[in-house]
This record gives sequence, C-alpha cells and structure tokens, in this order.
Amino acid sequence: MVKRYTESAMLSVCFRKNSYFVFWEDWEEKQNYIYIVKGDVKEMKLFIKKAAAISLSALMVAGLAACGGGSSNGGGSASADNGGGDTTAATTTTDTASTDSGSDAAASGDYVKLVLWGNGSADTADCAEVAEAVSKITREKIGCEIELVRGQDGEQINLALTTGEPIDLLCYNNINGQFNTVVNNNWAYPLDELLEKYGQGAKEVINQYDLDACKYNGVLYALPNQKDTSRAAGFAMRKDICDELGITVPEMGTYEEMHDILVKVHEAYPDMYPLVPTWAGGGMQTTLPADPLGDSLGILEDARESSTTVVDQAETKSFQDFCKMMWQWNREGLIMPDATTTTENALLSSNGFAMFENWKPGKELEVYKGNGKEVYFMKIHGPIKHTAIPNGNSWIIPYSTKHPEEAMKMWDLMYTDPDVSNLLINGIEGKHWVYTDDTHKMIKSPEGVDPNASGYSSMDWAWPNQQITPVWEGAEDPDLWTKLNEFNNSGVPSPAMGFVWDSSSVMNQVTACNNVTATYRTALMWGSIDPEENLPKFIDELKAAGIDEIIAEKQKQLDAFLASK
Amino acid sequence: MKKFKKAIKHFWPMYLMFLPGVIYLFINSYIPMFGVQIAFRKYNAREGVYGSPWCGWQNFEFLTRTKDAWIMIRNTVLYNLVFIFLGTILAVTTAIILNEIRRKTAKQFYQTIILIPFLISMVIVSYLAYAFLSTSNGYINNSLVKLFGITAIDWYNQPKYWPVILVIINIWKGLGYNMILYYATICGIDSTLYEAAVVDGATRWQKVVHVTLPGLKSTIIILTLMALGGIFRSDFGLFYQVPQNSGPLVNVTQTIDTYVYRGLMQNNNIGMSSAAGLYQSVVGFVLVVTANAIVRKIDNDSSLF
Repeated sequence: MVKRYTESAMLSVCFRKNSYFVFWEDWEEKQNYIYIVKGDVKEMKLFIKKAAAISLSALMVAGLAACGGGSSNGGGSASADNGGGDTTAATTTTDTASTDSGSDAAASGDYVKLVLWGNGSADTADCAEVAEAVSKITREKIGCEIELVRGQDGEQINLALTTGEPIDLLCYNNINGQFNTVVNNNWAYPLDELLEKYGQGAKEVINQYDLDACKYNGVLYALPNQKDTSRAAGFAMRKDICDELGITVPEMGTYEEMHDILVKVHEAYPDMYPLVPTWAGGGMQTTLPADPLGDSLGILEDARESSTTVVDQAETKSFQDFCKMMWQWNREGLIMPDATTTTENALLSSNGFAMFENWKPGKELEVYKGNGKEVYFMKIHGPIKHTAIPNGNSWIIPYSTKHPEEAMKMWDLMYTDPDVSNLLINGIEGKHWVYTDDTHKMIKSPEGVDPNASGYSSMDWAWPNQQITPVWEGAEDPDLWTKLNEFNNSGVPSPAMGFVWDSSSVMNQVTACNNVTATYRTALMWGSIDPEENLPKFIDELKAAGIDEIIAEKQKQLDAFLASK
Repeated sequence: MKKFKKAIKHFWPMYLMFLPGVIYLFINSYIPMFGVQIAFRKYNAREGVYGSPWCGWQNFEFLTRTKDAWIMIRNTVLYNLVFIFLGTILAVTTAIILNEIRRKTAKQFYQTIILIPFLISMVIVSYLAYAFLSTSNGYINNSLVKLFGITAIDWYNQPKYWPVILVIINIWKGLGYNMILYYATICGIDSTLYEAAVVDGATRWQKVVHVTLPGLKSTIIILTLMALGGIFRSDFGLFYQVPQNSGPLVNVTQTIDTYVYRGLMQNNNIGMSSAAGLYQSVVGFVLVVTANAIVRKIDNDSSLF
C-alpha cells in the first residue's frame, strides 16, 4: 500500500473508533477507491499530518517558482483518448495550431508579434479588429503581426516604460514633457542605423528640418509625425452662439477683444461657462508665444524674437500679465469655476462657449470631431516653431523592444503604406467610416454611428503619417494636406529650434521645481488664485528648489548648441 | 532548535494558520527590500537596477534643500495624530453608546449604517466629496452657503479648509471599523461586574467610567500603539483622490505616500521616490520601537513586544 501513495492521491479519510475509511483517487486508472482499513488510528493520523506538511511545502515551492508552466497533467506519454488521428499536429508546438485547419494558421507562430501603443481612446474589441486587419497586410509585407493598445494615460505609459514592458512602438503624446522626458529617462532606442537600413521610405517623406528636432546629443531617438509642425494659438468658440449674438470673430485678435466677446456671452447666457478648459484638470493650449526649451523650467520668453537668454517664466512680464488677466476674468465670472478640477473633456459639447486652442488648417474640423460643435477661431499669435512642436506627439521604439528591426519596418510601413496608415488612424471601412463618394477622397461616419462613440476614435495627428489617408468630410477641401504643409513652412522658428536639453546633471532640482510648478502654475494660469499674493511665493519656492541652477545649466547647453550651429 | 521542534509538534495547527500571513509578508515586504538600493543609485531604466550607477546620498538631498520634505512629514504625522486621537475617542464613544441600545434589531441596524462608509472605495468617496464641494454644482455652495448669504467658496483652491475636510472624511469612513474592536471588547466584559455595580447603586455614567473604560484600557493601548507604528504611512486615496490632485492644496495634502507617487509617476524620479520611501520606513521603524519602549516602561503587559 505504501507504494501506492506515490501514484495516487488521498482525497479524504473518515475516522471511526477502531477503523478508518480512506478515499483514494488513482491517477493512472482514473478511478476512485474506498479502502476500509482496521488499524491503528493514531498511526494514520500521524501520517496525514506528515502528508499535509509535505504537500504544503510543495505548494510553497511551486508558488515561489513563479507559477511555472504546464504541470503534472501534460505528461509526455501519448494517452489513448486525446491523441486523435492527426499526426502532423505533433510537429507544431502550440496547442491551438493543431485544432485549426489550413496552413496559414499553423504557421502563425512564426510571425514576430509587434506591440503598438497608440494614442486616443478606443475599445479593446475594435483595436483587436483593426490589429487583425493590419496584420493581414503586414504578414505579407514584413512578416509581422501587430497587437494594438490605445487609450493608456501618461502614468500608465510611464510605468510601462520604467518597468521595461515589452512594447515595440509607442506614441508618447500622453507623457508629461513628451520627447524631453523620453530621452532624459533613456526610454528610446537609437534610430540612426535602423532608419538608414529599414526606413528609407519614411526618410523620403519626412522633412529633414523636423527630423533634426528629434535628436538628442546628436543621436536620433524619434521620427516626427507628418502633422502640424508649427503652432498658432488662440481661442476656439462656438459658431452657433456667435452667430446668434451677432458677434463677428476676427481672424487675428487680442485678449481685449476676447474679453468683450466673453462678456457679451456671459450677459446673454448667464448659466453658460464662457471660457472652459481644453481638457480635464485645467488643460490649456497656451497662448504665450514662449519656447519652453523642453520642460518649461527656464524658457525663452518670446520664440519669435532673437534673444537667447534663458529666464524663469514665473518672472516674465508676459506670464505675470496673463495670470493677472485671468484672475480678473475669473472675478468677472468669465471662467468655469471648476476649471482646474473638472474631470470632463470636450466641454464645448456641454455648457462651454470658448476654449484655448491651437489653430492649423483643418482644426475647425478636428474640434468638431471632438466636441460635436462648429467653431470660429480667433488667433492671438501667428505660427511659430520650436523644438517641442515638430517632435511632439510622436513615436519611439522603446528600449525594451525585442524586435527593433521589425519595429522599424513596421514604422516605415506606417509612413508609406496608405492602407496601413488609414486602418490605424481611421479604423475599419464600413464600421468606423465610409467614403463620401466614388472618388475615394473624403470619408465620413457611417449612417447611425456617433463620431464621438464609434469605438475607434480618429486622432490623425497622433500617427506617423496622416497625409496619405483620406480627409474627413467637413474639412473645406480635400487639399488639406497641401495647406497643412504650407502652414508648417510659414512658422517663425525660435532661435533655439532643434535644441533638446539634457537635464540629467540637475535631475533632482528638476523634480523639486516640477513639484512647485504643479502647486502653482495651473491655478495661476486659470486665475483660480490671486497672483498678487501667489506669484511672489511661486518665484521664491522655485528659487529654493534650485531653478537658478537649472537655468544656468540650460543656458550653458544652449550657448554650446548655438555655437555649434 | 529542539524547543522549536517541540513547539511545532505541539502547535502545528497554529503554525499552519500563521503560514499564509508569513508568505504574504515575505512576498510583499521582504522581497521588495532588495529595491532599497535604488535610493542610492541614479536609476536608469535601460541599465536596470544593478546597472545603474551609485550616487551616494544625492537622492536624499531634497530632504534638506526644499521645504517638500518638511511639509510632507508634517502633514503625515499631524494628520495621523489627529486621526488617532479623534478616531479613538469617537470610536470608543460610539461603541459604548451602541452597547447601551437594548433592541437587537436597532443595534444591528446602526452598526451596519456606521460600517458602510468603510466599505466604499476612496475613489468613490472622492466623487461624493466632489458632489458636495464642487464650486459651481456642489451641494454646499448651492444650498448651505446660499442659505446663509455667503458668496460661493472655491473649495478646491482654498487650502485652509482642507485639514478639517480631510479629518471629517477620514473619521466618517473609518469609524465603523475602528468601533467594531471596541464594541467586541465591551461585549466581552464580564457581566457580573455590571451587576455588582448595579448592586452598589452605580448610575449609568458611573458604570461606563468604572467598569467599561477600565475594561477597554488594554485594547485602546494596543490599537493606539499599532496606529502609532503606522504614523508615517497615510491613506493614499484620502490625500490624492479626495483633493482631486488640486495644485493649490498640495501644501496641506502632500504626505509621504503622495510624494512618492508623484515622484514616481509624474516626475519619473525613481531615485528620489525610493529615498523618500526608505526614509519613511526608517523613521517609522524608530517610532514604533520608541513608542513600544515607553509603553513597556509604564505598563509592561500592554506593550507589543
């Protein structure tokens, strides 16, 4: 009987006065037995104790071995009831392959699987569908399959990159500080060689001037998206209300003009919020024409001018005036009271009238896609260009990738293959979009599909090449991409264009200053706190946190950059 | 060793029950200790933990150079002291009052009502609070404040109100749970003591003071001691979610835990986060040992170890 212990498992034991029943399960014969044994009850109890101790420790070891793969049951021997007649299945390693029919499925294990993290919200099921459609093309062209993930916020991306999650291509739009953060944390894979070898197609498309903005200490770490690489900032406001109140919106305007418009709206609609955040938590597309030089700690006050003196933004007149103006507007009830804490995006769609927004050709349509409201734009300043604009919202190959070469091939395809680009940006034809007519130049939402809730949001600027995809209906003309490029070329470049700053030597000062900035900046810029009282505090605390050291270091690097140019 | 073997043989069911806890502690508290070294390294994701260069005490410099360190320690400790003090008083009071209720159904009803907030997630509590405090749509600004003719208060930008708000929320949420232990202890007090007190002509109040409270003494001491051990820890949800991560409130809501989270998730400075975490652990450890030593001096039976 002792021998049997090893081949079978004892299920339970019932004790009687002088005898005990033992229930066994025999693993080999797959049957349960009941033994009725008359014997020494004490001895049996002792045995059970031992068995319990041994099985528990075994369990612990198994647990510590980090959930090792297939356990006992898999057993190498071909058992009678499972094998089936298909002998060829034995050659493939995966279980699923044997159940599927046909050769392509059997070979599916051979493709490299690339993991893409894109920007913007989308349902998991829709992402999987798009990924499958893209994989159909990529299997043939580059021998890869893709897995698509969208809608991760900045903190999730930070964590994934810090812990080295295997991602092969990633859009860094949601990371606070974008390219600057990515390179200073060493998260990106160097691209020079890869681009030369596998990215010739992309290289042809990309503007060399923009590409230079993606270099850090002379090494290329990102590729610019084919989107707006200049920025003109101002306000977007609801067309229906402007028309109703007879407000004419000038193309270029001033804060005073904006103030008058807001006052008019506030008087006509007291329950409406005249000015709302661009996105949740006090989001603001700044209208100050500064060059943030990476992380906004130490900036060039006006990117359009030739001065290259790095200054603390909190001490600049333009920033202080802006805060005072917003404080004043807030007193007058022109700003949404919960601006800095609201958790809602797309506030124009509910009770908001205007928001800070950047302008580019086709931006009216983009706002419409996001808010469902038509808007007028009033620009505060014309197009400018600094490093963070071309290299913003772009992509990297994270350092944790296992397949950098395949990733580069995929990336190249995203720049050059209209089908791949269109699938990734707009989704599946018939489900997420349809052509407006037979010319196949413009697209729209299918009948009965809400563009804001189609399951796959279209964020064309956050993908490598929107310019090879069809234009959405509502844009003035299908020639949008030509206009966009003209706009890009019209931007006034900052004297520090192309400069990417290396903050590693003052990393802890940067963290301390970021903490101070988080306390004051958003609240000051939305006029939620009194600038008379809080601006001096902001400046003092930044100084205590070491902003002067940061500025000195940044100035040194900038001067060296300018000298080498 | 022999003694240990004998103990195992004798009390093995106890050790068995003890085992899951040990495994949990081992995985959650001992294994991560190897990461302590990150506090002394200039962490670089690509090089990994072992590859990152050492940087001495550089990550700890912020403790002395900015007021961040002072603020977060002050907040953590003071809030916890208030929570412990007020929390204990209120929990004991409620337990005594609950014990005075005679009808069983009413007793259970109140107990459940008081416990419910403890079961709500902090994230949901944060939205409940937001529903009260939102400047434009909040209940307080729209009803109470209007009633008294005060202008609407911008709660999320006014740090002065938050120490009170946070204390109220924490006590409202934790009261039911804290109370259960005291209530159980009261139920365990020998009823003959009460009978004897009645025979001696004690009033209700006298019974509470001379029978119930002395019976609760050791439970109060043990729970307070355990709470003191956690005085450097804070409820992350309470200090991060409830204030909606609002910038102007940071000075009154920043605790060590939220600092570590912000450093890690928003500033990507893992070295400084680890340094703050290590500092928290070391000071917390010292505090527990000291508190215990003091209690042992005063009342040897009540100390933890």
